[in-house]
Amino acid sequence: MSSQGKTQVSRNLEEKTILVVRTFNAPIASVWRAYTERELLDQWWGPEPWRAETKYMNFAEGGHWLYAMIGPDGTTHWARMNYKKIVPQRLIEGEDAFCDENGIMNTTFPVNQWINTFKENSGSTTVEHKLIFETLEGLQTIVDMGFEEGFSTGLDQLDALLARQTA
Amino acid sequence: MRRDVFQAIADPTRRAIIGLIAIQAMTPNALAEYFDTSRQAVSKHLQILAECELVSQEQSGREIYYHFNPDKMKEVADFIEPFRKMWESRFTKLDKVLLTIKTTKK
Repeated sequence: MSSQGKTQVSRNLEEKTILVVRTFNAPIASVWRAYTERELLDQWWGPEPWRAETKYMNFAEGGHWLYAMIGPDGTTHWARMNYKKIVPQRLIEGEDAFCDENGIMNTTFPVNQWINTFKENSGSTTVEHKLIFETLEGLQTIVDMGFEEGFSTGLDQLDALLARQTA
Repeated sequence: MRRDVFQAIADPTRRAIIGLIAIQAMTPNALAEYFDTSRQAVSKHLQILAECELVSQEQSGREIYYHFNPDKMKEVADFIEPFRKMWESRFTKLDKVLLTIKTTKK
């Protein structure tokens, strides 16, 4: 059975990372373009009901992507990704941060580090997103307490939760 | 100041307090009997838990009872699920985008 089309999320509490793995039914060249070209990123980076809109992008080591996340009611959050290391069709390493519309980073929120690796396997492409969080030590505690089983909450609550963790 | 809920429950004493009041609402004095610390120390822990809404207070006569707020704890535990959903939502869109890349190539 193929794991294609399924988003796998696992935690590594020791590394304080979350690994998001997804396989796409497309060659690596297409997937790479979708992750690195602004016109394509704008079409998918915003999770429903949000949409992403690029203001500026310089996909190069030391460059960054400045974009807005726009909600259905017009709510806008600005964010930027700083590209630190790029190996074409292999790896992108960087950090993301909240910022204002001019890309000035908001230092009251933490900067999250991430590493995306791309692998082709006979026509399909697997992308691993390793996200380095600062709050995973706390997550272990929750697991210990036996509260892991849950229900689904909305993205709004995640936003609120993340905002609270960083306050 | 708002508290980091993860920091709040990382402390073993505070986890023990949650465990006790999850069974029944208790006063700070009653709680203090379970711990080898002062009542003031227990009150401080309760204050931290209350600030991140893991416990709530209820006045009953001259006593203040502390209740556990399970909804808040679930919200914290479910951190992963909305996170996964967010990525899945993105990737569903990306699947469609990838189809257009392939067709324009041909």
